[in-house]
Amino acid sequence: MALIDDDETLLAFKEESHEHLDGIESDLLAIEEAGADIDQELVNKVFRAMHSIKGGAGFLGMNAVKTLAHAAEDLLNKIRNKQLVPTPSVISSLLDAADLVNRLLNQPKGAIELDISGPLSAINDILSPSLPQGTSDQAPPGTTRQGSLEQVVPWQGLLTRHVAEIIDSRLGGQGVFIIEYDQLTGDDARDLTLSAIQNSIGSIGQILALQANGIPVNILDTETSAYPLPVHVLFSTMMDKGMLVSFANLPAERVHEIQEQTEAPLPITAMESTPVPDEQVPPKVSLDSAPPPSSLPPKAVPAEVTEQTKAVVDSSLRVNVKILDNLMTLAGELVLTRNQFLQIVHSSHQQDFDAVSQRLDLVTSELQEAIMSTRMQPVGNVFNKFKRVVRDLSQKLGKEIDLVIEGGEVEMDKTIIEALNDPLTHLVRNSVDHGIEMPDKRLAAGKASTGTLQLKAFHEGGQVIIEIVDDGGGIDTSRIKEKALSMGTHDKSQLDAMQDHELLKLIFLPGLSTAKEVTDVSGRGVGMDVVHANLSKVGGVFDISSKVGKGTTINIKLPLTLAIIPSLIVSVATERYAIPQVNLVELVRVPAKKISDRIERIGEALVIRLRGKLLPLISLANALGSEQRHYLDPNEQQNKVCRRQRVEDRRSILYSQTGINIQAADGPTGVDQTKERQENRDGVDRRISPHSAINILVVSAGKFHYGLIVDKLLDSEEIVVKPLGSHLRKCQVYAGATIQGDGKVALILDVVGISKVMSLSSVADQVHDRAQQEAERVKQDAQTLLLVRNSPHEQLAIPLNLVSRIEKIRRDQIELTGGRHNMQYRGATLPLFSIDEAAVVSPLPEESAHLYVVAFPFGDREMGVLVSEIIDIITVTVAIDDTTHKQPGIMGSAIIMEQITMLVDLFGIVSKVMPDWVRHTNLGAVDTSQIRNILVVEDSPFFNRQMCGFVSEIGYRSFSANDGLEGLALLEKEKIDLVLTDIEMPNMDGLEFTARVRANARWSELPIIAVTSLSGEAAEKRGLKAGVNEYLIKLDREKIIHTINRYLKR
Amino acid sequence: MHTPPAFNGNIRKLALFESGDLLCGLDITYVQEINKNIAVTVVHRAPQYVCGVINLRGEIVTVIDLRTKFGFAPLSQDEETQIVVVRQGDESIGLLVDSVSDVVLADEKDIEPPPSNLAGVTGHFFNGIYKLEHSLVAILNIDELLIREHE
Repeated sequence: MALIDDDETLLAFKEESHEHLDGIESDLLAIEEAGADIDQELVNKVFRAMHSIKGGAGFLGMNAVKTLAHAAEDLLNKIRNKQLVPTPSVISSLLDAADLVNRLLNQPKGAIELDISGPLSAINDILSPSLPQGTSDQAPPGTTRQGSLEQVVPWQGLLTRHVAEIIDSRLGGQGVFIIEYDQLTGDDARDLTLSAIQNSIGSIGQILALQANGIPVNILDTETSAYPLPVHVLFSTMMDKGMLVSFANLPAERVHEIQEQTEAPLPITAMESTPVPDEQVPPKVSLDSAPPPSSLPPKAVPAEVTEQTKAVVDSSLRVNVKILDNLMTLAGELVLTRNQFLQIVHSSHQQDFDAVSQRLDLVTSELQEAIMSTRMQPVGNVFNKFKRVVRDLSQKLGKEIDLVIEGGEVEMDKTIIEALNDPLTHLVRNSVDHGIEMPDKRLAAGKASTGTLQLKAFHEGGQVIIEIVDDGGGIDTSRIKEKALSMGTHDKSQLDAMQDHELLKLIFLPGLSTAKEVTDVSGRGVGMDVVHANLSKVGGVFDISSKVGKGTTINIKLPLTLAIIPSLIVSVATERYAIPQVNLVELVRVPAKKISDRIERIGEALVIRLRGKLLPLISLANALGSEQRHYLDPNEQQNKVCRRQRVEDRRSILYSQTGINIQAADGPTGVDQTKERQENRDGVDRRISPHSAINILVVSAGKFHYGLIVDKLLDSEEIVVKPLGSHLRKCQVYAGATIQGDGKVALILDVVGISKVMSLSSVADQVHDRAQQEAERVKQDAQTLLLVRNSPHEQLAIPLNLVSRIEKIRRDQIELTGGRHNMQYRGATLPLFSIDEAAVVSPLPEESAHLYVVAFPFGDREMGVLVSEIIDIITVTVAIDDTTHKQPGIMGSAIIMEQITMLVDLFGIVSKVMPDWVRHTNLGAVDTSQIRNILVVEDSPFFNRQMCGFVSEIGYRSFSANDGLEGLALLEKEKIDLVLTDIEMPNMDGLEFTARVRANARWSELPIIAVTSLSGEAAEKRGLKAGVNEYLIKLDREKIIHTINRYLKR
Repeated sequence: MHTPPAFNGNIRKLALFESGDLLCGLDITYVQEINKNIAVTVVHRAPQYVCGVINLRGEIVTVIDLRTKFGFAPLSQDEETQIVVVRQGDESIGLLVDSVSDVVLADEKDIEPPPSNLAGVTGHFFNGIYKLEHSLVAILNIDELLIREHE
């Protein structure tokens, strides 16, 4: 067969084949995994893929490919027919064959043919032993495998008459079938005409010949009369039998596949004009006896050369037709809209303008989205390749590794997916080679002998996160230190000052490898730096964490796409800047009067206190090298230069008793000017006006966050990133530029660059140290409280754990029905009450138009407390005084933010305001005939008294212990029916206490309820693991009572 | 305009523009276009001689202030200032000049090598000097002018 010299066809074939091959690899691995218990569908799929490749290759005269694919197809056929178990060696030979086919396909035209003898003979070696079996179903010419075993079949005539067509078809990679129409009854039988047959199978292949009742029929006959039965159709198609049967809806026993035997007697070698020796072996022969490898003259293509041609970057991709249709529609829409636009511009009616511009906006963004979606590909395309990598590597290294892939369906831009390939390969190889230990070592360390490597992809905040997690030996930071010292990249003091996560990042330095020995897999110290560089190029941000003995987790954050990125536009003075949303964590606005509370200085660095944590701050103006800040003068509506030297100097206003402002440190201004300015102000001091609030963008610079102070937040916009010129490459603080709607250029900020320029990591460390000190203090029994006000001067606190949500409402939304305040909420009634209904506190101010509802669950419904102001959410460890202010609805008081704060007892309020409810929800006092004993283990006197209090209130006897040790002693002494225990306690904590209790057979059934301020799934899991029955929140009295009752009543 | 002299050597077309005290000439083959009244966006932390970037039909073009480059006091952008866009490699760069005055045809033989110092500006920025009737034209060495400043 002549080589078809049609580049387009060739290209299309290659593309298609690459796709088939991509799929083959993972499918083969899945087949291997399933072992003898084969998934017929999967094997068929691979078979079909190989079949298609064979067909195409035959058509295009790529004989080597054809031969290989053919051999693979035979092997698969055996697997499919359960004549062969897909053992790893069988799969390996198939994988090698697939690899070679891939290489052959990538070969430039005219290159020396690659040696296919290796994989081919491997396959044939596997095939040969099963020969006796194999031949049994390869019946004499003319018979079919599945068909009857009659020596002469009724369609023999068809076969002999049309040998040429059959061979042509087979060489074209098509399957040849005889389809019988002989026992059809009813309408089918009457109407069996050529057109009926054409209708049924014509679209999926070619009818080569036809015979009716043993007499040949000319298929070009246009006569429409029915044929006498039986009718036999010689049919060729790209499909295999299974597909054909299902596609044409034919009974399987009426379809007979014509095997190679038909062509065996024919001088095939004569038809193959290529002088390639292995091609002289007809497929049939390759089945029967494997040509010894030595009989094939080795071809002079060294392996290294072939490796080089291997890396092909897909330059095209298949796109779902639906997406293309959608694109076409949108393009049409855009054209229409443009026409409209032009028309209106000519006639220019303002109103029409609005409508059309809106439409243009809509269509454009939809079009953009649709176009983007053509570029999106599932990350699984890359992930699945690692099945093979991990399999081959672990086999080679003698390790047992399970690869778990999660989130393969997550989609990302093709460019990013492609850029991911190499870095991920490297990381995976690293994990397999250095991360996961040898099975014996793992067993010795008390781990399962099979290591697990997880590849995960998931969405988080508009980004894609990819995690590579292994449960191997972890990275020893002391080795990194040694290495870095010996390489001289860092000195000892620097290294000692570094925290673990920083040390871990050093492995991305060129030349730094902690592997003890260099293997050919990894360990040469090249690579990790390349990984870093490659990922940075596509906007990837890295994080690595590792525990010696436990494993390593590498976390990569990636943008969804690079071309168009959602950004926030901010301004400093009159200049506008864009910050990619991916870098943004949150926006914080500090009102002018709160600046002094929230912003402070540590050394030279400015920090903000955000939810109890310290965050370094940078003024964007400073970062850009401008020394001035700006503010918008509310009177003159224009930007002015701020005169204060430091941001936090704005606090410098103090009110004296007489109401005259005393200015303490208002920049370097004289008293005269101050007076003068004073007169210009209309009573409202600018420094506490909304215009003086500070806008802070909390941004993520990889391993740490910091705040960026900007003058104004403008808009959120999708921007197109454009590169900056070569002269600006060294600015560091910009990631590029974009063009805004008005045609002006806005620079895109590089938050990592800014943090470098401002040498923020040292500040972050300082802050980290400070935060750690604070965390130490806060760790034990910290409560997170929602600070609220009922009246302007009384501060109240509600445990945040109990709050389900907070809503701002208008006063007129509150309805008074049946003497109760209610509010309609999502179609249901939300009962409302104010704290002053139950407790003696100053009432809600009458005049406020807006109130806040703090909603919390109670029983199986929800209730809401009305408050006038939400102040803050803070985490504190304060001593709670449970006597001074104790009253119904108030459980005690504490000094929070220098103010006496009353702790609201939501349960107390409900039981006071709606006593029926408490009874209704089965939380009331129990039958006292049988007193049950409850042990309360809690170190904080306040909570201890609280819990003992309500336990006795509902009719149980309480015993109190201050820690686990005391608890155990009491358990021995008293007959305890239930235990309530805290987790964080001195001497013996709740987890240990629980474990000890459970260890004793006497108490294995004793209900233990953990009550804690540590909320969160991880803490809960630990508790449940230790053996607690329930895990509840300390101040959720209602739930605790409910649970106690549940355990003790039944 | 000048009357074309009788040429007997190679002729170069020079675009003439002023920057500070200098009258500069630039071989017209370098010049992509000349623009007026384009808003320049300031780029902080850029090298001093970069006065910002402009949007040139969707391309972000760095604008270099020739005055700063030559060590003259910078001039604020006004009606007269123009941006001469030149092509260097695969990048367009704008030169902010005081004003663009003319295009002249200069005979190669009338161009003399530059002195080491011209109106206080070091000579390596120039390829040569071309004499007009009343003044001297300093012919810019554009590659030198742009490449030197990458540091």
